[in-house]
Formats: sequence, structure tokens, C-alpha cells
Amino acid sequence: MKKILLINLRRFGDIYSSAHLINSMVQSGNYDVSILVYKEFEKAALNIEGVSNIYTIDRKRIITLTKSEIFNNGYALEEFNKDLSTVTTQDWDEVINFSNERVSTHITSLLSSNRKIGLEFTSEMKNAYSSDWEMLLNDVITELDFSPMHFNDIYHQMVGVDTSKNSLKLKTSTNHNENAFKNINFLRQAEKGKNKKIVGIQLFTSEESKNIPEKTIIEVIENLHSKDIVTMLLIAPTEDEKERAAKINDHFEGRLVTVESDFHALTSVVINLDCLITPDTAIKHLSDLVETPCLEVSLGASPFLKQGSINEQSLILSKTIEDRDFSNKDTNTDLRSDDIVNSTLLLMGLKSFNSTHIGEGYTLYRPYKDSLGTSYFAVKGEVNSELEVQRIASRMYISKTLLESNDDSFSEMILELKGENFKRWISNEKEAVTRTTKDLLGAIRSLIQIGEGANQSKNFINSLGHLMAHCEDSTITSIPSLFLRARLESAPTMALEDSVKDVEKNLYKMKNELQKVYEVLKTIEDNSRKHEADTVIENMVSNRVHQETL
Amino acid sequence: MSDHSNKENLNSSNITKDNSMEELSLYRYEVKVSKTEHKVPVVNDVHLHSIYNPIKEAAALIEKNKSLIKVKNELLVLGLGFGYHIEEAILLLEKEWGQNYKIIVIEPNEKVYSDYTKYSLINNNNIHIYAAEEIVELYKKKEFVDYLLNKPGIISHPASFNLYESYFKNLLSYKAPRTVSSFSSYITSSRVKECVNNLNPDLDITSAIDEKLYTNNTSVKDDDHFLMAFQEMVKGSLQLEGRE
Repeated sequence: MKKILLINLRRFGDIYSSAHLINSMVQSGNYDVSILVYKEFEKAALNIEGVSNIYTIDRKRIITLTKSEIFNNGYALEEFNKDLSTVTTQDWDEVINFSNERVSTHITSLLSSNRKIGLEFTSEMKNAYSSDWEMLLNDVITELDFSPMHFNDIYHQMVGVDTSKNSLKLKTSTNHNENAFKNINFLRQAEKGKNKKIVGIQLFTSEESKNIPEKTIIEVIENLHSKDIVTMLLIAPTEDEKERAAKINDHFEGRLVTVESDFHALTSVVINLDCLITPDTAIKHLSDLVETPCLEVSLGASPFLKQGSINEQSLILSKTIEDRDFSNKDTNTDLRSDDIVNSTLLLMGLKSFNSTHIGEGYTLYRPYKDSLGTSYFAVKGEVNSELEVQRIASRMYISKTLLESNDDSFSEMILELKGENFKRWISNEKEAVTRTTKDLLGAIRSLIQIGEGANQSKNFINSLGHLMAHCEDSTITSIPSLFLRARLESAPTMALEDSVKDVEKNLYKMKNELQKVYEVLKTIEDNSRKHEADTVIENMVSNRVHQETL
Repeated sequence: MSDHSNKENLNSSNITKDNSMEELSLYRYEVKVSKTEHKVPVVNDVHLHSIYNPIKEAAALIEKNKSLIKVKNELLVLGLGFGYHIEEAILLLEKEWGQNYKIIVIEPNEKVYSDYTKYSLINNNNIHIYAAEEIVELYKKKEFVDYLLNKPGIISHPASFNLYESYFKNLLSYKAPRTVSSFSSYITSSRVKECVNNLNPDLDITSAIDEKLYTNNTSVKDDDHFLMAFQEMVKGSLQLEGRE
């Protein structure tokens, strides 16, 4: 049994989302998992099933000791040391830097462990990686506009554990479960002869840009009520949320049911709902863990392609991704309540797929699983087929390079999506491979000249600069370019001769990767041609049958 | 319970280590008896309790702070006198919180405290009294700092507060030394001591860590990661609060 410490110094939602990985490790029977979290988010960690120990850093207390003038800062250091010593005084088989930010990375770097998973710093303060998956998470996905991979799957790959489908995820209490079941069933059957659907609506997030506008929430509730669906407002027990919920409830003359509960009780409530409508919140992750379908309304800074709902029964409503920059500056929303209502009805099986309409400027996604894990397929609304095809092709490339798998299902999906601009897309991608390869060969050539003793370092730097510019490409070639940049930046300082060899090795590695981009494009193109030819034959046969029948 | 036992030498003549302690000089001290037969300390002609009915006066003070005691089970009481208001506070705290409460009392005057121990009937493990402590020494006590971090409710005993106004004001507006060189009086762990040893003693913690670890290209060791984790956590939180 491996003794594991998972460091997660992010917020409630990230702590819940780490439960998938923890669950997979615990279910495998090979891991004894402890976690380190900030004290203020311990409440979520306490609900995760299968965790041996929860260690905490009381950040608020340490910050108070630091910033308040009445305390000497020596105390702040003492407190920090006291909290950290609970993990630094132990030897770990593996330490997982799950939160992947600077504090957790420094802590990972100072811990004693046989294996560190995720980012750590070298003594030169460079990023140290133990696998390409870690590089993908930290230096590649972060730079791409539209992430081809979900964080949860990258973490599973980093640890080397299969995703477990067995449930052992969140703790609940029998008392809460019974009360939630009883109360929600009462609402369900309040009218004689009826068994109504119950939809939970999570009202707010901590990030304003992610919130569904109040006016839209009111319209959604009115619309759902008109269809005999019961709504429940879900709020955290804070004064601010109570006040905002009361304002919405005023509109309905206080008739709405508002559920104000802590995370532990909330799990029981969510289990008993038919579905949940939520922006990007911790509750979205909670509903994934208890497998309650949710409609995730992805707005503003919510990065659904990296951290969206992963339940295949859920749906994600997003502004068309080309119009999103996934930042908190993206506050312009023309979100329509009809789109939320239609998606919710589809989710609950109260509306057929064909009759579901999503308005202009929005796309409805469904999570699906492939050999890389969870991704999102645009099922309704406005779809930019070029971007969607490119995202799937990027997955195909990652699968080919990091899993060394030739999975045709990616190609099939692309053929389903390919629109009128498919040829233009593939031609752009191929041109990008040619351009990048040309710049790569230029860099290799000038590096060889340095190795031969020629004074070519200026040329090499120039050609490397040209090559690195491809990190900004919006084509698949940006992925091998970003990998190269990460490898070069994380290389340890060494003697010139060794350094040249190391750079050369990385350039040749990129050459292989570009070859794989080309192979991906060729497979897609060949399959597309075959698909077109098959379609022509099918049409001819069907015409002939039709004529003969006549 | 009290930390005063080693302070027996703090008499009227030597409690003058900072300005606020000057007002503690006992030009005149006596113990009178109220109409209700309760003992009342009189310091420099100031009666610390009502000379008519100290219990009634104490009950009124606690009644005024009733709403505070309903939400706070930890109190910091400024001024002990002979503790009549403490007895009243205990009654209310026990009513609201059972035995789950704590009171810390600050009494600047050693003589008042020693007579309190002589006359008072209070024997309660939930009460802790700091008597005749210099403010700077008080803030060196970890248990006192921990108590303040829990944000206790503050009740001041008006007669004591007025008598030692400067002492209490200095207590409440105390500014701890900020330089790294001052940390040695406040830290006990060898790890933290080692980490701090390598920092510029004349700078505050943030500037010292910045100077040592963020401006040089020196090789980073485990202790440095400890300091950098601390620094990033503090800076990150201040940024979240919009302070930076």
C-alpha cells in the first residue's frame, strides 16, 4: 500500500473535483491517501470518502498574524511551520501536487518522497517534471485557447491510475439522507395524483463573471413552474447569499423553496434531485460525484473544457467557444432563459432531442468518454465545426504521442462534425506542419553548426525564436511547440557541450512529434476521402434501387 | 492560573518600564468596605467599584454586554478590580455556554491583583488573569496571542480603564516590532530559527524573503522553499483581498 499525500490548496470546487482521483486510487486498493488543504476549505475535504488523514494549513490565521500590526511576524512563521510539520515530518511514497500553484509547488519541493507527481521546483527554481503529462498540464493546456483535455484525466494519467467507475466518493449521513428524501418527496407529490420533477438551482458562484443573471434565473423559474416542475433554490449559509435568494423569492411572493445547507447536508439534497441547474460551482462537482445530472451554465471565467461536468448524463450550455476568452473580463452575456429551460427539459427527458432548440450564439455540449477520458461534443446550437474538429484532432494527437495509441474513434467523430470548412481547416493544419518543420530544421541546422565549432549562436537563437513563435499558432502544431518550450525552459544548467546535446535531443523529439501531427492529419484526410467515396457509392446504390423500384 | 507569581518584585516603584506603566504607580492605595459589606480597592483615590453596591454595579455592566456574551464565549476583560464584574460575567456565560467559555482578564496593578486573590472567592479554571504585565511581554505570550486570534469579545471595566487609560490604550493599539531581528523572542522551533538566521535582520519578513530569495540566483534549499511557500501564500492572499 503506497502512502500518498495529495496537496490541494485551492477552493471547494477543486477539492471536490480531486475526489474522482482519490476515489480511483482508493478503489484500486494500492493507495493510502492523505490530503493537505487550507483550513477554510476543510469542510469539503471532510466529505470525501476514503481519505485517511486530512492535514490543514490555517491560512487565515497565518495571514492575520502577518498583516495585523499587533502581532510579531515570527508567530506567523511559527504557525506555518506548525501546520506544515504535520506533513514534512513524514516520509511519503508519493506526493501529488494537485493544485499546481506556487505555494503547493514549494511545499512539494521540500517534502520527502520517493516520487513527486506534478510540478516541483529544482534548486535553480526551474520547473521539474517527471512525465510529459505533467508538462501537458502545466505548460501546454494552459496556453491553448480550447483545451483538448480535461484536468481530471491528466491527473489520472500522471498518477498512472485508471478511472474508477465504482462509487465511493462522498460521505453522507443517514439522517440527512432520510430528511432530504422525505422533504423532496413531499414536494414531488404535493399535488394529488402528480409526481413532479424537482430541479435544484444553484444561485451563485464566488466569481461574478460566472453567475447566471438574476433576471434570467427568475425567467427560468417562471418557465419551469409553468411546466409543473418544482424548483429549489440552493444557497450557502451566508448572509450575502440569503439576501440575494430572498430578493429572487420576493418576486415569487416567498413561495420558492430555498435550501440553505452546509456541504455535508447538501450532498443528501443533491442526490434526491432530478437535476441541477448551476453555473461553475463546487456543487457542480458535487453533483458529478453523486451522479445527479446537471445543466452546467458555463459563463465568464468558467473553464468547462478543462474542468467541466464529467457525468455523461449532464449537459453544458456555453456561449459559442469562439466568443469566449474564459476570463473574468468576459461579463457580456446575452444568455436566454429559453435555452436554459430547453436544455433542462432535454436533460430530464421531458423534451425530445430533435425538438430541442438552442438559440444563436450558444452551444449545448454533452460530456462523452473516449480513450483519453472525458471530452465534450457539441450536440445543439451554434457550432464552429473547425474549432470542434481541431479540438478532437488535438486529442487524437495527444493519444498518439502520449498513449502511443492509434484510436480511430477520434477520426470517426471528426467526420461526423466536418462542415463545409473542413478542407480549409485541414489545408491550414498541413501548411502549419510544413512551416513549423521548416523552422525546426533551420534550428537543427544552426545547432549542428554550433556543435561543429562555428560561431553560429546568433543564428541559432534567431532560428529558435522563429520556431518558438509557433507556440502562438492556433493549429495543432502549437502543442509540440509548447512541449519544446517547456522542455528547454526546464532543462538544468549544464556545460555548453552538454547543453547543445540536450537541445538537439529535444529538437529531434519535436521532429518526431511533428511527424505524428502529420500522420494524424493524413489519417483524418484519408478517412474523410474514404467516407466521401462511400457516401457517393451509397448514394448511387440508393438511386439505382430507387429507380428500379419505380 | 495567574502568571503574576513571578512578578512579586513589581511594586509601585519599579513598574515604570514604559510610559503606560507610569500611571500604575501607587501613590496611595487602600481597601474600603462598601455599604453592602463588599471590599472595594481604592487606587490613588479612585474607587474601582461602587462604594454603595459593587454587585449591582457589576450586574449592570454585564447586562449592558449581554448581547456580546450571547455570541462570544471568549471574553477579554480590561481591568480586574476585585472581580465583581467577573463573577457576574461567569453567571451569564455559564447560562449561555455551560462550561464552554473562557475569560482572560488584564489587570495592570499588582497590588490590586494580590488583594483580589486574598479576598475573592472565584476559583474557576476558565478564568486566566494577567497581572502587572508589561504590554510588550504580554504579546510575547503565545497563549495570549492565540486567544486574541480567536477574536474574543472585549469588555472594559470602566473604573479600571479610566484609571489605567494609557496602559489599556497602548495594549489595544500595540504595534509589534516588525524586523526579522525581533523574531527571536517570539519563535521557538529550530526550523524557523534556522530559516530566519539567513535573512537580513533589519528588514521586515516580506522584504527579507524578497531580498534573499527573489533577487539572487542562488541555489534554493528546503528551508528556502519553506520561506517561499510562506511568502507566496501571504502575497496571494493579500492580492485576493485587493491589498496589493
